[in-house]
Order: sequence, then C-alpha cells, then structure tokens
Amino acid sequence: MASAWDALERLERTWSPARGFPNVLAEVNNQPLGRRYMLTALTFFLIGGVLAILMRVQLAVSENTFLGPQAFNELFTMHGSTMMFLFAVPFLEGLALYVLPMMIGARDVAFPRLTAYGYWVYVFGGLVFYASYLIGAVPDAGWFGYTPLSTQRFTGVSTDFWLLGLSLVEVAGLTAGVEIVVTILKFRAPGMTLARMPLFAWALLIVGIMILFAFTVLLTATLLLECDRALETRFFDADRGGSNLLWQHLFWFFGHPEVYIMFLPATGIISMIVPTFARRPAVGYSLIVVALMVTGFVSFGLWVHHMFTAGLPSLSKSFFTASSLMIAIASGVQVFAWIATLWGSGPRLATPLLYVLGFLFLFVLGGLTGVMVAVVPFDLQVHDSYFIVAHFHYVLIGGVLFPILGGICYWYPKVTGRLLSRRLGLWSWGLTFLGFNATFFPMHIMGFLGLPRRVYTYQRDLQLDGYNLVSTAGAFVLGLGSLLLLIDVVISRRRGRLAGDSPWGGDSLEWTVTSPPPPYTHHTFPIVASRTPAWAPSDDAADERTKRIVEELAGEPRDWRATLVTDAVDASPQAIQYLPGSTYLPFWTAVASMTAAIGILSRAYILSAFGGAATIIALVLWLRPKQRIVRLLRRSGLAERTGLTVFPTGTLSTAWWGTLGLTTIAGSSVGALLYSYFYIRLFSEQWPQGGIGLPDWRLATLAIGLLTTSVPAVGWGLRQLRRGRRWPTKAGFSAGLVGGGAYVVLQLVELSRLGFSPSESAYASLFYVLNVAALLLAATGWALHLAVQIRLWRIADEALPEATLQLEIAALYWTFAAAAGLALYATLYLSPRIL
Amino acid sequence: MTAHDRTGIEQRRLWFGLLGGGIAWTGQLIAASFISEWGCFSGLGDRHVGGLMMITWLLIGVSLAMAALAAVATVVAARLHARWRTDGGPGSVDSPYDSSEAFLAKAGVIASGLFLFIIVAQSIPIVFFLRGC
Repeated sequence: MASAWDALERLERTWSPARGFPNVLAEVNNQPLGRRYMLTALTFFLIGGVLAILMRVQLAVSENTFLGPQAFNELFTMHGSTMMFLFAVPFLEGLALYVLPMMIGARDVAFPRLTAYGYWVYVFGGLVFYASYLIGAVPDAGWFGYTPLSTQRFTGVSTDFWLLGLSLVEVAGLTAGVEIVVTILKFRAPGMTLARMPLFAWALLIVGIMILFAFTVLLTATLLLECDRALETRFFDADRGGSNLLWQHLFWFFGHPEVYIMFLPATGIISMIVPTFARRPAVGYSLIVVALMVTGFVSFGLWVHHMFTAGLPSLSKSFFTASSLMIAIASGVQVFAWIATLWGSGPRLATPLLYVLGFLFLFVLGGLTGVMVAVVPFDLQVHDSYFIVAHFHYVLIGGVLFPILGGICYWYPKVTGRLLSRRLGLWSWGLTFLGFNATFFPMHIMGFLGLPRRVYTYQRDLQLDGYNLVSTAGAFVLGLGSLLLLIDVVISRRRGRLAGDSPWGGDSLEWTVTSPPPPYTHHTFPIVASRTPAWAPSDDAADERTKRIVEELAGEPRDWRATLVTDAVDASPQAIQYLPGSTYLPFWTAVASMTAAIGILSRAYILSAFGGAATIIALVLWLRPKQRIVRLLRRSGLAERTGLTVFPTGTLSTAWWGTLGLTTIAGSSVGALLYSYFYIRLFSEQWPQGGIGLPDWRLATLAIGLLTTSVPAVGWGLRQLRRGRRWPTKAGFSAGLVGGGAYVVLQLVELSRLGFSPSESAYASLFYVLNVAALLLAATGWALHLAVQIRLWRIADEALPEATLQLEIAALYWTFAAAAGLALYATLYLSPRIL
Repeated sequence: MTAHDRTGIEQRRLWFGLLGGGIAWTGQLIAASFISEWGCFSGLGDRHVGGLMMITWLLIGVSLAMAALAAVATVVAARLHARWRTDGGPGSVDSPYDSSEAFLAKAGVIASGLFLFIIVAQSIPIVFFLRGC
C-alpha cells in the first residue's frame, strides 16, 4: 500500500502545476492554461460589455451629447473586436483545452508548450490592442477594418494597434487550432472510434480545421494591409491598380467562417448538455456530425453575402444566396435533433438546460432573420441598418453566449469541485434572457424604420427615442444578468456546495474523474466501448493487447509526463508520447513575438528585427532534440512492457501531424496570396500594370527546377533511412540541402535585380510579396534541413531510428515548400504569358 | 493485389466518398464566382448563344461537372456503406454500429448527397431566372 501511495504521489508531483511567481509563467499543463484562457477571455468580455453599455447610453435618447462621433467610432470598433477576437473564440479555445483531454481520455493536449505560447501571445495581443488607449490612438475603423478607411491616408497609428494586436491574437488562434485537431486525432482513449466520439469533440475537430484556413487568410490580409500602411505597397490602393474589394473578400472569407468557428463549439456544448439532462443519448448522432461537417464546409462559401451591396454581378450573388440558404438545413438538423432528444424525456430543468432552452429560442430567431438577409433584395433594404445589428446579436449572443454561459454552469463543478448557486443562476438566466430580448428585439423595428448602424446619434423627428430607451434599459438588465453569473462564479469557488464527481450524471468521460480533476487527468486510460462511456463503462469489448497496455500504463510513467497515442480513425493504441514539463521558453518566445510587433507599430524596425531574431532563437532552443529525454525514454522500459514505441515516427507522431498543420496554415496563406494576385489580375486592363514588362523567366525557372528536383532526392534519402542505410540517407538529404540553398540564393538574386519597386503598382507589390513568400518558405525548409543534417552527421548509427522523426518532418516540409514554390512560380512567371 | 493494397484503395474511396461532395461544391462556388466576375467585367455577358449568355453556359458546364463529381462521391460512399454496415469495414474489430469506417461511409452518403442537392439548387437561378449580369 505504501508503494502505491508513493507511486501516486510521484505521479501527482510530476504533473502538478507550478505555483508562485515567476513559476506560473513556465506552466504548460492544459488545466491551468485552459483556466487562464477562460478567465482572461471573461475579463475581456466584461470590458467589451462596458463599452457596449456606454454606446447604449449614448443612443438612449436622440441628439445625445454623452459621447462624440469619434469616441463612438472607437467604442464600436473596440467592442466588436473585443467580443469577436478577445472573448468568444479564446474562451471556447480555453474550454476546449481544459475539457478535451478529460473528455477523450488523454492526460494533456498534444503540444503543451504551444498551448502556453498561444496563451501568452493572446494576452500580449490583447494588451497591444488596449495599449492604444494609453496614447489616445484608439482603433476606429470598425471591427472589419474596411479599406480605404483603414489605410494610412485616413487613419493613423490606431489602425496599426488594431492590426498588430489582432495578428498576435490570430497566431494564438492558429496554435489552438493545431492543438485541438492533433489532440483529437491522436490522443483519444482506446476504443473511442470516430463513431463514438463525443459531439463536443466532433464540433471542435471541425472548428480546429476551419481555424487553420480562416485565421490564416485574415492573418495574411492583415499583413498585406500593414505592408500597405508601413511599406507603401499597393494591394488596396485603387489609384495604383489595387482593390478595396479585395480586402472585403479576404476579410469576409475569414469573417463568415469566424461566426461558425464560434457557433459550432457552442452547438457542441449544447449537444453535451441536452443528453445529460434528458437522460438519454443524443437523437440523430450521425446526422448531427454530418450537419457539423456540412456547416464547416459551407461556412466558407458564404462570405459574399456580406458584400451584396458592393456592386458584384447578380450571377455571382445568386450562388452565395443559395449557399446562405442551404446552411440553414444543416443548422436546422441540429435544432431538430436537440428538440427530439428533449421531447418526452421529462428533462431536469437545471440552470445549464435553461441556457440551452434560451439558446434554442434565440438562435432560431437569429437564424430566421439570417435566412431573410441571405435574400439579395431584402438585404439591399436592411444592409447597414439596425436590423443587421439585431440579427447578428441574436445569432452571436443567442447562439454563442448562451451556450457559453450554459457551459460555464455545466462544467464549473468539474473545474472547481463546487456547484454554482441555483438561486443566483435562475436570476442570472432570467435577467440575461429578458435583458437580451429587450435590448435587441426593438432593433429589428428600428432597422425597418431606417436607423443606420454605426452612427453616434439620430434626429428626434425619426421618433425612435422610445425603442432606443427600451433597448438601453435592456442592455443594463443584460449586463446585470451576466454580472450575476460572474459574481456567482467567484463566490461559489469557496462557498458553493460540494459537487461530487458527476453532479449532473453526464454521459462523457470527464464525469468519471474527480472534481476538480487530478493534474494528470486520467490515472488509468479508459477503454471506450460506447458513445456514452460514463453511463455504460465497459472494457469487455477491448482486445487483450489493449487491456494489457492500459494495465501497464496505469499511473505510469510516474516521473515524466506522457500520454497514450492512438490511431486517428479507430483509436487503437499506437505509441507512448513524451510530453514536456514546465519551461519558460514559450513565455519568452511570446515576449519576442510581441517585441517584433511593437517594433513595426513604432516603426522601429531594428526592434522588430531583434524581436524576430529572438523568436527564431527561442524556437530553435524549443525544438532542438534533447539527449536527456532520449536517454530517459530508452531507460524507461515502457516500450518493452507495453509493446508500444516511445519514439513514434510518421503518422504515429504528434510532431508529424503538427507539421502537417503548419503546412496547412502556410498553404492557406499561399492560397490567399494567389487569390489576391488573380483577383487583381481579373480587374486590370493591362497586365503587368504600370508599364512593367513581363518577368524574366530564365533565372526563376532554373531556381524552381533545382528546388523541385531536390524533392525526389530527399524522398529517396528517406526511403534509405527506413532501410537503415546511413550514407545514402545523408546523400539524399544533402541533395535537398544543396538544391534548397541554390534556390534561396537565386531567389535573392532575382529580387535584387528587379527594375521596379513594390510601391509602383499593385502588380509590383504582388510580385515582390509572392516572391518573398516563396523565399521565406524555402529558407525555413533549408534551415530545417541544415539542422537535421548536423544531427545526422553527429549521431551514432544505433541512434538513427531516434532521428527518423526529424528527417521525416524535414522531408514533409520540404515537399510542401517545393509545391508552394512551384505554384507561386507558375503564377508569377507563366500565368502572365498565358492569361 | 494484396489485402493491404485493397485496404489502401478502400480507404481512399472512403475519404473521396466523405469529402468528394464538399470538394465539388467548393469547386463550383469558386469557379462560378470567378467566371461571373470575370465574364461580366470582360463583356462576355453581352454575348448570347441559344438565348442564354455565354457566361451562363460556362456556369452550367461547371455546375454539371461538379454535380457529377458529387454524385459519384455519393455513390461511392453508398456502396461502401452497403458493404460495411454488415461487417464494420476493413480490419474492424468494432461492431458495424461503432466502426469508424462504416460511420464515415454513412456520413459520406448524407454529406455528399446534401452537397449534390446544394449544387443543383445553386444552379437553378442561373438557368431559369437570371438573364443578365
């Protein structure tokens, strides 16, 4: 017994979060970081809420002078940006990071240090954003930052605060996207096939993939706009061949999926709460999963419905109208499935379920007005009116905030071990529901009566004072309702009733661990045999191998962090993944990233270069293989006891999947650049613009030829590695190094001898930026190759298998860099000669 | 052909069945968006053949091709599902109800079928209602 206690204590010590300052800066475990994400997001929610109330005070009566037009512009910009970028998405990411490992039977998320980096970058992004108040240059161009309003000609440094703060937050979002996808695919408990995965995890998987595409496009767009502002490129300068509509296309290509990036996890929350309180499995599980998939896909095809008044051809608009109507089918399927689950079940009306019922009512209303605004003639009438404000608040507050508040009530006992107050919960729900409807329902009518949005006041003879006053009073009630819940959250932390492990009797795995959960989450990896594992725990269905592995890993390893890796599709055990412990590296990498952003903000490019260099150095320190860990894994004996590898390679390794995520992000960015090129090309009478001649193809062709021919050589080297042949491996990878090096040098020569500057025209800007993108992608790959080459030459033959993963990653990235380089080459050098 | 090869082919069919409809819809939307904007900007909207604009014919062509792709994906998913709903899929140890392969095949039938419907629905206005840019 003593040794069992000792083992448990060692396991606990290994996973326990660091306490006290500065140790908290080094924490990488998902539980404290998930909590921090949620608390930080709730802080931004409070700030955003105060900004909204200030706006409502201004609009309470006509011709009010409480705020001036400039302050009002700043408030609606900061309110929208805060709620969209700093509250809703980060909160859901934090919830995902906290709950996911518990729910799918893992001990942590796939990349703990990346989680920590993402959190700090998010905090710093928010701070940069709000630092604008300190120097009185608050962003005022709207949360969508339309050009030309957001260009240097019309706004000063305020828009730089917006762009750079946002860029950091987007990077945080991307890290969470990769984290969520890889965790779900590789860390599911044995037996948790895709057909048994909790619906919340399904929603998050789809959202994680969406983030990789959508956030990257916005990140690319914000960088292009910052280039226009700081470096005088011409992407959005109509006088020099650029296009303001291009910004709208890029922004809304992100902006509409963004709505679903918030909404789908919210539906995932609903899909967890409803079966729990209906005490029966979700009706239409397969249909809900398909609805999530279809929504994820179709959400990328709706962006133009934000641009119906921008003068696009009717033909084009008709396709987007149809897509916008079709997404209602997918959403409707989910709504009917939840109603069917509740129907006749005699559900227990606890606070989380009340929020679900509120959600159903409000979201259906918001969805119906969404179908209305998808119809072009109707949209032309109500565009930029308060009808739109009402519509999207019904969707976002009804469809996202209500599930979030319900989720807080639902998982709070798990996080803290204590229940929220039922009485305060009822008051909070009632006030929030009433306040919300009082605030936003009159806005439909005001919109119909012609009140435009984003104006700081209105004339008395419009006779809208009554509606506005009700709306403002409602905003205070809504604020009070939300505040009550937050007060309850604080008070119940110490004074709430003890919750027990499963206060609601939920059906998923998080309810099988203690409340609050131990830092290692699962002492013994669960074996899943149904969609409701907490209701029907059974390992009878598992094969002997799985049972033996789970038994061997019960409370193991004790002295280092690790989790079980399973197959992405059928969740059979594949490997044991080492997970890093506390380290300051993510924090300092985030500080370096912020320094680079501040350098651009203050036009101190040396500071920016210093921040960039420091980020790269920190990343090198972060990623370099550590012999100490290799020795630890070799000596552990876990491989022999379980029959699983402790040096996973290829698709068994989370690092391989992470690299795939990285290449998806980089590929999306290249896609956004190519879209920008062809969009501007489409509307240019003359190409290349401004009298610039066709690009000289000879040097570029030689460069791309060298780059692409090095890919088969690297692939051959990889095959030799798998056969254990050291020298042919070195030869193959050396060919990649030479080919890549030559490409980088030739690209630099090409850029240095261009006879035009990027400021001349949009074409010139595109030519430079696309070439620089190809150069950066190849240079990164080359640096990666150099690092693995050095390792390859230094390690002993018997250590070759342990270096396999690095070589596979280098090869995977190299293939991507060459493909991207080829696409960019074909666009820049071949397409002008053909199209 | 070895059992391993057969499994590989079936896996590729499965993913095609699951994602083919969505990819076809994406292709139709992006192509239609570019064709409409480029056609209307370049003056192609003024040229008519058989009572319809040249652009409309192009859009019909793209839509038919993408509808065909989505239809093939639906059929592929349906055939896999018909087989796997009894045995759970290649190498599956789970019951057909819980096997990932059988589940994804079923999801493919519904998803690709729905995308086929969306493609057809999106094409109706250009053929029957919209007569100009």
